[in-house]
Amino acid sequence: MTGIILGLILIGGVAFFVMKKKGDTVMETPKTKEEVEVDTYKESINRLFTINLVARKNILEADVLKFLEDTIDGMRNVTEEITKFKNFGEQSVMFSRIGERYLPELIQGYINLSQTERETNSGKIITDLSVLKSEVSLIEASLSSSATQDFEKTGKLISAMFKKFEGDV
Amino acid sequence: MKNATKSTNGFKMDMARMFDILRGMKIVPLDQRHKLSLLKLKKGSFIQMGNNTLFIEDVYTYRDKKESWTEFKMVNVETLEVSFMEVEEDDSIIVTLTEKEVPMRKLPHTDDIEDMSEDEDGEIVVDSETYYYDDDYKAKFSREGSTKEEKVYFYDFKSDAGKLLTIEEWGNKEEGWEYQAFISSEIHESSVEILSL
Repeated sequence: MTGIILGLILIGGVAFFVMKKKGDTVMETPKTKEEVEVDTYKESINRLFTINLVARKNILEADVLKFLEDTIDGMRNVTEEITKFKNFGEQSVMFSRIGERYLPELIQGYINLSQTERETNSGKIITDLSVLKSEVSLIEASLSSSATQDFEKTGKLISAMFKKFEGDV
Repeated sequence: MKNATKSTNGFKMDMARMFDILRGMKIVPLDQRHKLSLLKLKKGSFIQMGNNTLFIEDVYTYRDKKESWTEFKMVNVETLEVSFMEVEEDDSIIVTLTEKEVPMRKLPHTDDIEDMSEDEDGEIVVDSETYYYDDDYKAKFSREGSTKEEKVYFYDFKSDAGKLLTIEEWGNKEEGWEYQAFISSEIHESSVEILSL
């Protein structure tokens, strides 16, 4: 008799945990497309802020900061819209690469230089930042035309220009 | 989506403010920072404390008969969280960082606090830590850029661990009194790095 009672308690316990686990699973609702877009947008803007913060804390040269911040502001203007175009071709991939790779690497590389090396290289970083800013401006112009076809076309152009840029870096 | 939009708008406003604050930072070269004194901090300065980059949003001065000290209202540039730091020049520079505000409901009645100050004795327990009567005094408060002065009365209590419970009494008899209480602790001057003045 005791064995039966213990058995029932054991089965009840297992059933409780299985149900609880099932309930927990049901609670985790997958994120909607809009929520994912919002998360991506926030991540991108936060990343740009971090790049700007690191630069402000480490770079004294006003002209370098100006070119960097112009580029960052250009990106801030289109980040929300470009997030919605995430699945619309390689220009959005390129845009992500600027924020996630090119800009941080460029800035960190410059920060790592000695003061003398910075003086020699400030012209180069400004040129590189200008290239990035032009790309962002092109993307911004394409987005404002709201024609996906044109957007795709520009993407190909940017892609070609980036191959050149990657070669420089 | 309505909620997502709402939260995105709040995020956008916060980020715009954070970028605005950041763009005011004009960094002092690393090799010159050690020459700077915390007494030189002013509205618009930036400091680094641990991993936190803080912007001095406002500066308050307190003066009593014998001395004066400065309080800085600071905004964390990455979180927009507000905190306060006091700097006072004695034989050395004393830096006190406010840890948190204590709700008045957690403290004894203000009449009892006044009794403690009259007796120059008494203790208050906050979050299991005992603070013993240390001092009470009045001061005049002013903001940077303003000539207007307000009267404030302080009741200081100290814990064995060196933490400070400060109860501030603002206002007057006619319009009524307002109280605020804070826990703070002293930090070493060297733990604050001036990034931008």
